[in-house]
Amino acid sequence: MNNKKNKSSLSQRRRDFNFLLPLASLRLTIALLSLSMILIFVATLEQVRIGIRGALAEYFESFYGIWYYPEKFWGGEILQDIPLPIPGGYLLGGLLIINLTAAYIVRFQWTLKKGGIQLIHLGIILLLIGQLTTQAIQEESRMQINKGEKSNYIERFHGVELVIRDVTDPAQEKVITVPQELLQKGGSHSDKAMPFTINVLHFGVNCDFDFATAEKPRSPMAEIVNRGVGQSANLNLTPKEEDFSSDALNFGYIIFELLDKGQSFGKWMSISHPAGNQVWSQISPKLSDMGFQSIRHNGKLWGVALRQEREYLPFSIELLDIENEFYQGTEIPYNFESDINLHLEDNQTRRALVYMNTPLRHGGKTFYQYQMNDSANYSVFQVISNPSWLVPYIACVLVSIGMLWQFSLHLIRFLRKNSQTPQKA
Amino acid sequence: MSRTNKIFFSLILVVGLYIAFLPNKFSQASFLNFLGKDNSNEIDQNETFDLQAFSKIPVLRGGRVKPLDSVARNILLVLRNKRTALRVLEQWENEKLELIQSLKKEGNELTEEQSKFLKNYSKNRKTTTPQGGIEVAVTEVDAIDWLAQVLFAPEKADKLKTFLIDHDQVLGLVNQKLLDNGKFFSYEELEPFLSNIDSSARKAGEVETELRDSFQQNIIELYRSLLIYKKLKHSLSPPTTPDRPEVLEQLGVTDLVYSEEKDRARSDEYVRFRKLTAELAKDSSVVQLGSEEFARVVFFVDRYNQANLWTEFLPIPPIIAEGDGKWMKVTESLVGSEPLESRQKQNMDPARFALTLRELLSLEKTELKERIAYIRENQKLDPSALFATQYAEAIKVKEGVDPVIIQYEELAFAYRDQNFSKFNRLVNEIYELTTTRAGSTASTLSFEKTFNGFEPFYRSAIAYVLIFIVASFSWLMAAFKKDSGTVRTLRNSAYYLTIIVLICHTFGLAARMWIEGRPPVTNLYSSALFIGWASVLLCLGTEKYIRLGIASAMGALIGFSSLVIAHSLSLDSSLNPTGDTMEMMRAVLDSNFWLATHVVIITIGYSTTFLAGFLGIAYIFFHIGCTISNKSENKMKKTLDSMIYGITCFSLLFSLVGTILGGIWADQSWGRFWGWDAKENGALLIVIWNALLLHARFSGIAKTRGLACIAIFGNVVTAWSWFGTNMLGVGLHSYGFMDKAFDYLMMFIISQLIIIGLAYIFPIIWKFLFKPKDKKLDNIDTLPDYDSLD
Repeated sequence: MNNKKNKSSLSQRRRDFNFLLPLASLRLTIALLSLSMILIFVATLEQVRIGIRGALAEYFESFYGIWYYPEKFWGGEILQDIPLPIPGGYLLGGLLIINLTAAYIVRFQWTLKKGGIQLIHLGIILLLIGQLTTQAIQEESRMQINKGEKSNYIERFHGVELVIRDVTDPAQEKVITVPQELLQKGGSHSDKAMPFTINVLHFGVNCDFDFATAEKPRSPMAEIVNRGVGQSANLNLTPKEEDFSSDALNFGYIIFELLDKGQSFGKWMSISHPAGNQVWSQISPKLSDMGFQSIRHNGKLWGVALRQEREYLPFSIELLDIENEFYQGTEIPYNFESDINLHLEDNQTRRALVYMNTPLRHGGKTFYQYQMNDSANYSVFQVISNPSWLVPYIACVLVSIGMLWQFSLHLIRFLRKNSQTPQKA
Repeated sequence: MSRTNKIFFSLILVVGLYIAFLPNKFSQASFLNFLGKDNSNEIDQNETFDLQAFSKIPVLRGGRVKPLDSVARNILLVLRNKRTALRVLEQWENEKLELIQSLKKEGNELTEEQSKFLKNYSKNRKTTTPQGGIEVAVTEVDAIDWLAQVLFAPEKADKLKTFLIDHDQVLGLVNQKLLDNGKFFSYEELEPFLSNIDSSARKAGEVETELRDSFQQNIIELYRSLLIYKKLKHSLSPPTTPDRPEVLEQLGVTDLVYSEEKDRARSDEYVRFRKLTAELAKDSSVVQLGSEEFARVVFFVDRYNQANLWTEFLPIPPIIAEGDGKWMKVTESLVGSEPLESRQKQNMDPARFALTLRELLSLEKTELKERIAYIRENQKLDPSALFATQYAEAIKVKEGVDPVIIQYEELAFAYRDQNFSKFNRLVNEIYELTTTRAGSTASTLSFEKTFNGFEPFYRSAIAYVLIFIVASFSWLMAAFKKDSGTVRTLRNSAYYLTIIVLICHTFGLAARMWIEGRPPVTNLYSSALFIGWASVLLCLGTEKYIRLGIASAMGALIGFSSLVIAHSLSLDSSLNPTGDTMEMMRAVLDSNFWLATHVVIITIGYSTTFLAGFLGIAYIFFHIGCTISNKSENKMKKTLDSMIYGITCFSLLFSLVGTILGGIWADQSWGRFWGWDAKENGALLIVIWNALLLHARFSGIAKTRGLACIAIFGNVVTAWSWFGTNMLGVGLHSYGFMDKAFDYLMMFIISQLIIIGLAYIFPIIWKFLFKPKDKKLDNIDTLPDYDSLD
């Protein structure tokens, strides 16, 4: 009786939403799954060539990617020139969500017996949505703290900003930042708090740099720099494509001109170190001012720098101690641990330990032990803000329950009838 | 069951028990040894070295406390890819042996000495190896026997064939030919070419790992092997620096350093060094540059720091009073270890170094220890202070010479003098002392030693072959002789045999878990062990209900292959540089919770997918067989269909849950649920493929043959994500670049594709060639199922 009612509810739904029927087709599901296999396989292979971030941008975070057969493989000489379009992650992910949702409406029986199947697919939809949103909104940053010191900002792994600080009065520092999007557009930028305008002459996300010599003079681009570190260190600079590999170092650069009432008073160069501008002094003493190039103008002291994009936090972290242990007589790391004080917004302090598999979650951000330098006494956290981090957990619970449900039903039947073919679902 | 069948059944089970548990030729220990029956009681304590007792002594290697037995086996595995060394028999031995054997043949009574000789000789396996173009007799030397020789009588060990060289160009480099001299060489044979090997290896080392050709890889491996061997030799007797006599004279240490003529043992030198430091500890005012007394101490500290680099394992157990659980090298127990790299000494300020050291030495011992700890914690960038702490430690904190050092020296004397009773007494003393000092870390030593000798995985692998033969035989019987009684007996024997072997396999896994204190899967090697185990277990469950011999055979096949794969993985120098398959876990993987959940579940997912794939193969061969013999395949087809389907359901369950758990672990440790890392993608491919199989079946797109082929392709997908992703060498999960395995992976993939191809092409060709009149053939599904997917 009940069953009949359910069946009729399904046919009712089928009538109401008959336009969804082709979208809910199992054949479409199978086609999409097969295409996903190709996408994932190709993108994995491509990681060797362009790195994980490159593969992400080309294949997973796009609607389609173009793949060339690798030259090193069999028959590569002939096949490498043929461009092969590969459906991208957004396309397949989106279609799968549509396919699943449609199946939900016009194909699934909403009965207890099929409850497992429904839960599994609901979990899968959640996983897909969760991943799509994560790809779109997740941000990765780093926070480096020296032992005994405090930090209240995080720096993006990728993305830079130009910062201009008025430090005339140390008590009242004024800070103006120009984000990467504006720098990329080029042109002039001005601000009320700033008596001059900035004219961006060259900007890029990655470059090679070295000290120019008599044999190898500065390139025309670097030659125009006549103030600051670029001039004093006689720096040469060559723009470079952004490197997407996982351990890449991208040095963002800028060459800009400062103008007061249309009158230029110098051209500067600034490079951002991906590990933070404090590293410059270790590379060469000549470059130690890269993080703060001072400019005196109309009796005021200014400092400019291109740096990794920063985000200031309403709380700060103090590094009390670090521990870096290895198994005896080996170079296998055993433990990385940072002992920290979390200084909260309301002036309260909380002690915490951050170590492998145990991140610190606070203020919508998660701090993971990322790198550590025992002899130089600093620790680096990877900081991730991903508002949808809970979604996979929920999905996981749904899928597990659904699977247990469905497969225990099957198992019982399988054991009962053992050699007989189970019913078609 | 008829009488013959009954006899046959019991016979098979006895053979199974013999292979899996009882004393046999395949291994040194049997399950009896675990029950406390010790081989060492059999031997006469006054007539032979009790190497079994010696092999239980704990040392620290690769971050883990283990018995010397494991050290010996693991190192030989790296050097020779075997757990034994080879000894070429001397001329007189050969002659004597021939004489004794001919005497025995003629029925003569042997003297006691002669029969002992024969017994000793026949204890170990004999083979032959080419030497200068002719085959000569060699005998296998047990790992522990070999280790004793390396440590105590290196001149003997240098003659043993210990190194495997099978690359023709490397052989050329050491002026050898495979045909003339085989592939195993002794240190003595390689010694003249050390500088050649060294320079070639250095050059090869400059090339990036991924770009090295096979010669470069092989020469680096040989270089590493030689380095391990040299370090091993010096682990108990540190090298003496070849300083020129005039330098020693100038420093006034000529009478202090060890000399073979005057001193009995190296420890005499250590005692004299201790006297020097004791004087300094009393009167720290002489600590200054230019002072003779201090210069001597500096000489020795440098000497011992050098020696610290030449050791393969740490023999000195922690000092209980220190309570830090720190194992030490011989020289480390005298002077500690350098707090920074040696070259940092250039950045030292000598005056401040001396000042700090004097300050430190003026403190009381307990205070001094605290101060040293403080400096090491807070003045990490100050080489002068840091090096001063080592000297302060060497001079004032360390006292005397560790008794273990002296006991090991005495042991070496006893070994060289063939003083059996003294050797055996000392072995027991050292064992007592070291295990007491090692504390709880030494609790599994004795078990580990017996476990090493038991070789459960080797036993299981052999027994799996037997199961496969028995099960296959049952099909043959079913096909050609309609003797259902025999068929049933064979299938039952295969089933019960599987139970016996599975117990052995399970015991091996459980023993590893107990020794390591870890869940079953910790690295690629143990994943292979576990995949085999889980597949066999699942097959056993299937066979319980569907007694067709198919699940038994396929389980045995997977069990055997996975154990062979595990064995080859243990030989891979990039995956397993120390030869120990129970290595320590890197910090990020060091989580028993996730190892026990994510890793175990995903590995079960691998094994079930393989199982479905192998059942697919079984079906395809059955299908081809039916085509040839022109028989209907109805019932079997249905059974296999539902087996593949049921097992794929399990696969999907485990691979999906495992993958999601992996995502959660990644979220916990790296801050992202999913990072499109190669290994993650591999796991996802398995999930999708399993889902695809199920959906293809639900939708009716694939019938049995299509299903079987999808399942077979699942083998390819699983093999790819198990090994292929490691070969890519990218991402967080990649733990080693395996190039040798790449060819095997390719061959496996091609074989699977050929089977899939056969499934579709063979019936067509057969039909075309023989055109059977029977219409039945058309019943076999000829739907364009699998093809329609692409």
